[in-house]
Amino acid sequence: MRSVLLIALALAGWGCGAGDAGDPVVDGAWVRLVPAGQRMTTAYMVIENAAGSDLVLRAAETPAAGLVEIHEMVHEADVMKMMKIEALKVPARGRVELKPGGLHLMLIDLAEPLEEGEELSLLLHFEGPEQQKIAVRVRAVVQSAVGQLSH
Amino acid sequence: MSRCRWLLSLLVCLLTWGCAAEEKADTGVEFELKDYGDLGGDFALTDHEGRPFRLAQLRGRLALLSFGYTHCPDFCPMTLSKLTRAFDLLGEQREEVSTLFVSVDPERDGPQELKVHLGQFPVNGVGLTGGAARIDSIARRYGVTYARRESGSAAGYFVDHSTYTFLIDQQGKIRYIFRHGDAPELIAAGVAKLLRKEE
Repeated sequence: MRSVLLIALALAGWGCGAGDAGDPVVDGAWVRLVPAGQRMTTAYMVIENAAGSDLVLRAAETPAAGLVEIHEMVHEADVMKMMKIEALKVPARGRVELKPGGLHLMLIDLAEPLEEGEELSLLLHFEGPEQQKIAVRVRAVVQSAVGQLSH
Repeated sequence: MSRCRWLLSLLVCLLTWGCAAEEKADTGVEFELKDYGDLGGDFALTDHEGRPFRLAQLRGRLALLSFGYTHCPDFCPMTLSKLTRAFDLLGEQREEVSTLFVSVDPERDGPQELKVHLGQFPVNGVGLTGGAARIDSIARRYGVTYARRESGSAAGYFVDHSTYTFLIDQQGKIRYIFRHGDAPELIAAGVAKLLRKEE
């Protein structure tokens, strides 16, 4: 009897480990409010990966904008450089923070003027081990940047 | 009296003297103004209303000057947000300061673009643009570098640029250069210190 229970528990553990634990969790997503007529804006969030393998964010999309790119900011010798990147690694059992002055998603060709407090829907496309595809839907709140200083 | 007590007294004296030598701003942050010699100086550009502008017309007022561009969707708004917080800390004194934003991307930043961009931030903002050669010359006099870079992005080209914010006094001279990472409290302290000097 006990061995059956142990096997059942082991199977349950394996079942849980192989499925949901592979999906990254996204927290605190927000989009910077910009005036009507501005063509693009930025989105920030924390991405956590509880799984035992690295995940890579490869792309993102939203109905709110024509396209989404991943960008990083590099500050060197008092000069700020912005760079489009093709992939963002979220390390195994680790996290990545997208915040002002650093990594961010660029939402380009906004479909409509943004309103403060509005929630935008984003779909993040990750690649897992063995090219496994994982899509995570995120709701991001539009906020004025003034309240979101980060140092 | 033991030697220990004598040393302690000496230490207290030194600390008190050290503190008295620096003026404390109202924000509780110590601030030391500097002299940069010939760096900076007067310049003429076009403002966000399409009017001619000279730095010299701000004599008697203070200015916080940065270089950036409106297609800079992250860093420049961050700087302007930081200045907004500094202005909040200044309270009534905020009326003595203008925020100048010189575009390093005059090709895309005309007066209207600057007006819309700066309109988001209550910092007595003045957007400034002009011919590429003139902006080049002004940037050089302020020790600011910038470079256009094709990015492969649908957002268009990027402009890498220096991240300084210059504190300019009532005579048009640079008295401090704030860097990326300097807190709004430090900026407010610098402004407060210059306003006190004129009292």
